[in-house]
Amino acid sequence: MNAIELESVTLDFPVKTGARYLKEQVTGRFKTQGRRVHLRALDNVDLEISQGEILGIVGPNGAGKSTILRVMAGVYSPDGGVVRTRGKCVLLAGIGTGFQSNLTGRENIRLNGSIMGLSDDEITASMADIIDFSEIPDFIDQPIRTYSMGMKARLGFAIAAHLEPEILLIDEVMAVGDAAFQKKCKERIKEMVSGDTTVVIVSHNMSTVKSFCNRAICIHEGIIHTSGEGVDNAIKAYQRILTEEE
Amino acid sequence: MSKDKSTVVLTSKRPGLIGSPLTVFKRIRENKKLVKHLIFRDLKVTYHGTLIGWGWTMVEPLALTAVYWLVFSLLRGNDDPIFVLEILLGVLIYGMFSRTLSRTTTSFVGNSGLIKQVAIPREVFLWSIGGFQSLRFLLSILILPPLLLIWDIQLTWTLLCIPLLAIGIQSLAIGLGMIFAIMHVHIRDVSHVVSILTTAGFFLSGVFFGMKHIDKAYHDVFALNPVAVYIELGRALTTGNFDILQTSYIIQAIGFSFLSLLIGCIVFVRHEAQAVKLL
Repeated sequence: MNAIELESVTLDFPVKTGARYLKEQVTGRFKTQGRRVHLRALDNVDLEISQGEILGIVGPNGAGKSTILRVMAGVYSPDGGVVRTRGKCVLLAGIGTGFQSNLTGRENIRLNGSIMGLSDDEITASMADIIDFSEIPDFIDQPIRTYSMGMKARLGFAIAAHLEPEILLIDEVMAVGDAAFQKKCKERIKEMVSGDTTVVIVSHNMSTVKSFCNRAICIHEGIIHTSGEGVDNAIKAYQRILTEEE
Repeated sequence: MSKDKSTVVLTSKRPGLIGSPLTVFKRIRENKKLVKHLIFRDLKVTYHGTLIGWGWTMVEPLALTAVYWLVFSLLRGNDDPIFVLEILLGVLIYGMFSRTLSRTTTSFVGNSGLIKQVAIPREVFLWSIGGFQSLRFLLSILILPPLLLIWDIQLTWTLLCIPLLAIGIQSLAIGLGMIFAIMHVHIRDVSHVVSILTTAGFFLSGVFFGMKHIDKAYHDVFALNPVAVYIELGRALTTGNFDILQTSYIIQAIGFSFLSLLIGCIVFVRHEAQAVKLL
């Protein structure tokens, strides 16, 4: 059974200014419709991800990795094709987005949890675990503006780590806090993926992709260049693209 | 993939003219807890660190009343408390409308960080602003009964209908805000235009004057401004005096609110997916 299906998915970004300049820079990646210019971020993408699968997405900067993740999450609606997802879907990107600096850590847990789709009861039930995981119990009733960047990131990840989604989409968020906390994050993600959760990880770190994923794809200029079993094909394709670009 | 309740299907297809408002109401109903959290977030953040917290929602209009009383009663010699009351109501009602309109206009761009990270219905940001400003207004008008008693003006049951007035005026503001929020993503100048419009509206909506100060021949033209009618309605509901306000004006203002909300929902639902890409 598939948890995620992308069927001929196309996504264009409207380009408002500097179109002529960009057109000269990236010839062929734009289509012109009258006076409006579009950058094609995903081009007729077909992808199926089975339930419980851990898929890695690699590719150079601006390849469409984060865009494909946001299409799966429902942040962007496709301009063509169909996206189907089954179950509660959570995107981990930009940890701590939406924190209010004047509210306390505890109040932000409640607000952020609600934004992430947790019910009031679920937030109340997870509150102690989230505070414990974040390792900042002494500061939890202080306003977030008094926190260091590391403390905010830890609290953000702690909330995300307690969402218990059926589909988890991770966009380069494992480099949070110090080395010890990063290890804790990775262990927590391993716990989450060891169950029935379907996971899609976007990363530039090949060792992360190799250690977590059982399949990977390489995306470049909005087109999937490899798929198939294992992760080595995708990593090789990624390295080949990087070599060609150099 | 077999389709069940947990399956989400996304395509480029958008709801139609009738489907759009229904979609907005469905999304708001499904996310009412989140709207509640955002309203209380705004309440906490707005009055954070103050000594009396949300008590300022009442102290502010009380202070304004004192200023108006001082200016109009003492300096201009107009000792009619009704006049001060009417100005206070004008300021409170117009303040709710203009703050909602200007903040909903910038809400899409202002919440771009969250909008690009979390797949939540974007309407919740606009509706929570409307909810917060309504709550602030309703807390403010709690000062009305004591003021009426002090000024020896008879309390009427129509005062209880003021929350309904908030629904009408906020429907107008949120509807317009949904249109301007989308426009603001494409053209950032829109927020400045809205700011000029709300300032102009302050002087054109009868905040410092009422229908009774205008020649009867111009009443129909004045009533084309639904905000002016709502302000007049607020005054009538507070004093129980409906002599000058025709029912047709009220129906017309409600019609404008309904139309604004309807068009706002259609514009928002049909264009928000493209607008997100420009954030």
